[in-house]
Amino acid sequence: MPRWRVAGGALAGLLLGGASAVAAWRWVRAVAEVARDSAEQRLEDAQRLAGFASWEYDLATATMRFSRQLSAIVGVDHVVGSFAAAGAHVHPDDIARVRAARDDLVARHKPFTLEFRLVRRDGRVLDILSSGEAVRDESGRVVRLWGTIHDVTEQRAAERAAREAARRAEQTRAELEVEHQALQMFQRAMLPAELPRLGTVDVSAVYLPLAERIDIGGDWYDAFGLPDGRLALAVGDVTGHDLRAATVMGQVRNAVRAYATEHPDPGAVLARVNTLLARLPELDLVTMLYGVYDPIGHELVWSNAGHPPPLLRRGDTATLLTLEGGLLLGVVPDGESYPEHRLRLGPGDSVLWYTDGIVDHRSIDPAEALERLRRAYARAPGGAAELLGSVSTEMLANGPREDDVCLLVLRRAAEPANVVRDRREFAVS
Amino acid sequence: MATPRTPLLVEQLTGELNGGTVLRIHGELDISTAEQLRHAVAPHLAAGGRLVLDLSRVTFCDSTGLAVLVGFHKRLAALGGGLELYAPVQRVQHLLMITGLNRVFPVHAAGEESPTR
Repeated sequence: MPRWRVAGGALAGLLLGGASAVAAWRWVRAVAEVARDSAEQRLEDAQRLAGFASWEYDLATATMRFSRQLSAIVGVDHVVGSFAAAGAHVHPDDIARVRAARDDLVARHKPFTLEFRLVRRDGRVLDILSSGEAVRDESGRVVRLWGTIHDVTEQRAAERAAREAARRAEQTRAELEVEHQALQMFQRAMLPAELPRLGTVDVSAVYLPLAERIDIGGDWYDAFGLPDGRLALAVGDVTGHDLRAATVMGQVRNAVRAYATEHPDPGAVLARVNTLLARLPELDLVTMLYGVYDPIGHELVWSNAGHPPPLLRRGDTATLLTLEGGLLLGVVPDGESYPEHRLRLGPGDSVLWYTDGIVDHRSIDPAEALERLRRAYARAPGGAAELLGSVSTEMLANGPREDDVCLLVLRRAAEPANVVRDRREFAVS
Repeated sequence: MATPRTPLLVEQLTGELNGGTVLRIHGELDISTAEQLRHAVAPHLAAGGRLVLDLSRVTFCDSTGLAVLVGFHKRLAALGGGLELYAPVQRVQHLLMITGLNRVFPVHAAGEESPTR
């Protein structure tokens, strides 16, 4: 509590006079001191706990008084000083602002709130939030100035750390975004820019990336003309979702094209890709369907290396072609064989190849999801593109996906083609 | 990105199945748990021999999980041993069948020479 109230008590004691007055004075003074001491102690305790401190400047005595807590914050041991001395610890860069606020308060009694840095005697720099105002008596005369300072160093440090963390997170996100875009560009570059267009058969394929995932899958599809006029088809999935998976996908996709051009039989192509993969130093596993379609005889020959089974649509029914397949690629280097299956497509028949992202979700039974795919395919209308659009729309409407998806439909035209095309038209150009 | 949805737990069962160590795995095998699984099983690969993984408590496995199992098998096979799987749940059985890996690792059905203590 301010000292002048004690002085007021002393004055009251003196006015009473005499022995009783002396006793009364002693009592008044004792009570006042106890009250003052305990109130000051409580104020000091409160200040210490709250991390703030106060000062007051008595205009009558021109005395600056710091609370003990302020002395502790600033790192000085005195509790009484001058206004000028109070500014001595302000950071040199902030001193002009502090002085201006102080002068405004002294000369014009203008209150202030400002933040500045304070340099302790031990060299530590504190962030201080300070405010000050004039205190008037009943007649409106300014009798003293007082204010508080609040040590906000830890708070500001936490804020700076949070800003820095946010900046770094944003930087990391931006870097990942760049990587993601590069991967997507790579993935798109690996997918055929356009599919072979034949008169008697339609091929349609789609890659559905998972937009909310920063990483991408190693799923791909491919369709290309062979030198003998037949059409080669591939759908595959590389383990993993990173740059490595994308590069392995690119290698396998190109290896398939190279092997197929030399010797297109499905069993031979898959066996050679398996040997290639199993000899890579890292363990890279790939599942894949690869096949060759003859647009004259309408026969599809294909082999399966550990990949989900294809579907056949004939009339209004769709059937899973769960025929014997070979092991997924990359596990054992030699001796793995990939049985070949043959299927003649009638007018309007189609096959659907897909990657497991369309049926694989941990919250759904895979057999049930496969059955849903089969039904969606059975009732999908139209040509290859419409079939594909209808199936993907229906399957993707059924809740979230966890993985990228590739879908490929090969459909023989329903009506006999008006023009019987020459095989050379399908040859590699 | 790689925070496990459920914690992966690997416990070593007392006793042996056909003379091999038996580890029971609890959780989901995917990209988020692959490294944990590799780390937990690595000490049991060094000696080669037969290792049985009890998959009865594995509720989900994707291709990344499968790749980890293939990695174990290759390590063991190089030392003259091999990996065996015990009691995978239906969706994992399905995956092993599609990929043909059920022809690479012996897969024991639940109840068939139970590896439990």
